[in-house]
Amino acid sequence: MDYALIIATALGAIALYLLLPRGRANMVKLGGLASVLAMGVGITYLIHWTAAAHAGHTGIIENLFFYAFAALALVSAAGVVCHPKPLYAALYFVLMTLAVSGLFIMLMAEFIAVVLIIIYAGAILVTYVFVIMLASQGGQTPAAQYDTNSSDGFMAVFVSFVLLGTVLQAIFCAGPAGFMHSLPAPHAVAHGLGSLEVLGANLYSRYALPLELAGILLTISLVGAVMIARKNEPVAHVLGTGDLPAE
Amino acid sequence: MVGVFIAHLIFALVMLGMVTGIIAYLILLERKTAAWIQDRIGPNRVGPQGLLQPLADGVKFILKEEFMPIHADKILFILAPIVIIAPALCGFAVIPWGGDLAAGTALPKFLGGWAFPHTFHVMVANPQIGVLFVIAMASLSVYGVVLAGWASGSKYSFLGGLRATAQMISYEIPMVLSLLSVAVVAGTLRLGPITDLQATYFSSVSFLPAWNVFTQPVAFLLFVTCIFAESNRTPFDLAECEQELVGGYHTEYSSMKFALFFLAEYSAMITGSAVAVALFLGGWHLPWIDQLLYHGAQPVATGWLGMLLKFVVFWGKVIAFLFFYMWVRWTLPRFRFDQLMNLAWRGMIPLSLATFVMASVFVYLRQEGIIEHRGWLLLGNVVLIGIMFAVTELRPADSGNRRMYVLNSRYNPIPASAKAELESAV
Amino acid sequence: MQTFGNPMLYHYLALGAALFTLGLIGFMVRRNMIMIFLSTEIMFQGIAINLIAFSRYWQNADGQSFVIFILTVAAAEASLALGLVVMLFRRRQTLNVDTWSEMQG
Repeated sequence: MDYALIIATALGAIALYLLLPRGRANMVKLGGLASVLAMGVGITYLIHWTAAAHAGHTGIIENLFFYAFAALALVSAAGVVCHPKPLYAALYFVLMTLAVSGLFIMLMAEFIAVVLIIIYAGAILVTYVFVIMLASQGGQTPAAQYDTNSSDGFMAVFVSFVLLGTVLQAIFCAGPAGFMHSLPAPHAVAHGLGSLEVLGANLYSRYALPLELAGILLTISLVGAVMIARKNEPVAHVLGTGDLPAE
Repeated sequence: MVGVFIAHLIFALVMLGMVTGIIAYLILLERKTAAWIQDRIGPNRVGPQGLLQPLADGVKFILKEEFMPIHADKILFILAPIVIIAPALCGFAVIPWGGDLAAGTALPKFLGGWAFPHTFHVMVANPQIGVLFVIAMASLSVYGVVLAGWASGSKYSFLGGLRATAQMISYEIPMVLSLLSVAVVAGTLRLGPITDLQATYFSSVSFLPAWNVFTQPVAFLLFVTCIFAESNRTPFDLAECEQELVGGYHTEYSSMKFALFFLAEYSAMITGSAVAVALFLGGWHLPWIDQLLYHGAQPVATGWLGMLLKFVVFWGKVIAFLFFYMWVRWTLPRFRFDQLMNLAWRGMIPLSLATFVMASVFVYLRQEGIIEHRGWLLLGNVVLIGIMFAVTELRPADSGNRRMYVLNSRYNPIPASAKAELESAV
Repeated sequence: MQTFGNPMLYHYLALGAALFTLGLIGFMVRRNMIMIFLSTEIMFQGIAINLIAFSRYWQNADGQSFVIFILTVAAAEASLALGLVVMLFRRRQTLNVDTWSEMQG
C-alpha cells in the first residue's frame, strides 16, 4: 500500500466529480483546484519514485517534456469528459491527441505520432465536429440540457477511480521485478526501432493477415456507413425536388 | 554539432522571413494579376508602381475597428484566427529549399566558423515522416475554418464553415494518395531525398529532366487540384463565396483578425506551392544548365554558393507556381457544391487510388528487376489516362442537372395540386 | 544499466491508466451520444500509450503495429457510429441517449 498514491487518486476522483457538468450548481473552480492538487501530488510522487529508483536523481529536467505533455493530455482529457459544450469537448480532444502524439515522438514512434494526428485530428474529429455543428446552433447558445446534467456522476467516478487506484498500485507496488526499469536510451535502442522500414516490415510480414483483415474491416465499415447514412426519407420538406417521390 | 544547430536556426529564420515577406507581396501580385487579367491597371498609387501597397494595407488592417458580434462565442472567436495560422506556418519546417550542404562546409567567421561533420539537407527539420507531417499540418488547418464559422454565430459564417469542412475532408483523400504514390516510388517519406532524386534526366530522352511531374503527371494534376481546394481558392472557394455567403466563415471578422485569415490563406498557398515544387517540379534542380556546366547531373551536395543558387531556383519556381495559382483563380468560374463533391468522390478519389496502385506495381516490377528507370511510369500514366477516358465513356450517363423547385417560394412553378401531393408525401 | 534522461516505463503506464479512467468516466456519465463516442476514443488513446511504451521498452515494433490496428478500428468505429448518430438525430432531433430507452421494457 502506498498512501501518497491513494491520496493522489482520491484527489483526482474528487476533482473530476466536482468538474462534471451539473446544471447551474457547477463547481468548476473548486474542481480545478482539486485537479491541480491531484496532479501536483501525482507528479511529486513520480519524481520521488524516480529519485528512489535512480539513486537520488530526480530527473525533473530530463522528464520535463514528459510531465508537460502528460499534464496537457490529462487536463484536456478531463476537458473532454467535463465540458458541457460538445464542440469545446471535441477541441479538447484534438489538444489531447496532439499531446499524446508528442509523447509518441518521445517514445520513438514518429510514424504513429503523425498518423495519430492525421487520423484522429484530421479525419475522425473533423467528422465529429461536423455532426456536432449540424446538431447545434452556432455562436453563444446555451448548452443542451442533456449536456449540462451528467448521469450517475458519483458512482461512475467512484468505480473508475477504484479501478485506477488498483491499476496504479499494481504498477508501483510490483517491486523491482515489475515496471521499475528505465526505458533503453535512444542510442542504445536496437533493430532501428521507430524507423518506417522496421514498422513496415513488421506489419507486412508478421502481421500480414491482420493487416489485410483490417483493410477488409475498413471497406466493410465504408459500405456500412454509406448504407446507414443513405436518405430513405424524401428531402422534399427541405428543398422540394424536381422529381416527385415515387410513393 | 553546434554548427549544424546554428545552421538550422538560420534556416528557420530565413524561411520565416521569406514566407512573411512573400505573403505581403503576394497580395500585391494577386491584385496586379487580377488587374492584368481584367484589363485594368491595378494598385499604382502608393509608392512607385504601387510597390508600397502592402505596407498601406497592413496599416489599414491595424487601424480598423476590432469588432465582435454580440452572439459570438468569445473564446472560440478569438481562438479561430490563431488556430488557422499556426499549422499554416508549421508546414514550412520540412520543406527542402537548398539541396544539401556538403560535409566540411564551415559557418562564416562571425557565426563561430564551425565546420559541419556530415552532409545534411538544407531544411529546418528533416524527420523521416516529412510528407506525413505536411499532410498532418494541412489536416489541422480545417479547425480554424470550422471554429470561425461556428463561433461567429451568423448563418453565413456557419454555412461557410460547414462547406469548408466537407470540402477539406473530401479533398484530403486524393491529396494524400497522390503524395503517397510519389513517396512509394522514391522509397522514402523525407522530402529532401525525394527532391534530390529528381535531379536527373530520362535515360532515353536525355533533354527531359526526370521530375516527378513528368514521370507521374496524373498524381501531379490530382495534387494541384487538391491544394487549390485545400486553400479555399477559386474554383473551390465555396466556403467564402461572396455571392452566396457574403464572406463565408470570416464574414464577422475585422481588423487584424481578418488579416490573419488572409495571411493563413496565403501561407497555405505558399506551403502548397513549395510542396508541389519540392515533390513534383524538381525542387532546386535547374535543368540544362547542369548539363552545360558539369556535363552531367547537378551535384547534390554543395557549399554555400551552390546553396544560394539552389535557393534562388527553388523560390523562383515557387513564385512561378503561385502566379499559376492566381491565374487559375481569376480565370475559372466557381463550382457548384454538388459538382465539387462529385469531382472529389467520383472522379479524383478513384483516379488517385488507381495512380497509387500503379505506382506500387511499378515498385514491384523495379524490385524484380524487370524495369529500371522511372520513365516507365510515364507510359503507365498515359495508359491510365486512356483507361480513365474509356471508363468515363462506358459509365452510365449522369442524369445531368435537374431543376430544383423550392416549396413555398413565390417563384415556384409547381401547380398547386402537385404541391399538395408533394406535401402529403412528406 | 541505468540511464537518465528518459522517463521510465511506469510514467507512461500511469498516464495510460489515467487516460483510460477518464474515458471510462466520460463513457458512463455523459448523455450526449457524440460525447460517449469521444470518451471511447480517449480510452483507445490510453491503451495506445501503453502499447507504444512497451514497444519502446522491449525494442520491438509489435506494439506500434498494434496501435495501427487500434487506429483502424477507431476509424471504422467512428464512421459507422457517426452514421448511426446522424440517423438517430434525424429521427428525434436530439443527441440525448436517454431518448432511446424503449428497449428497457
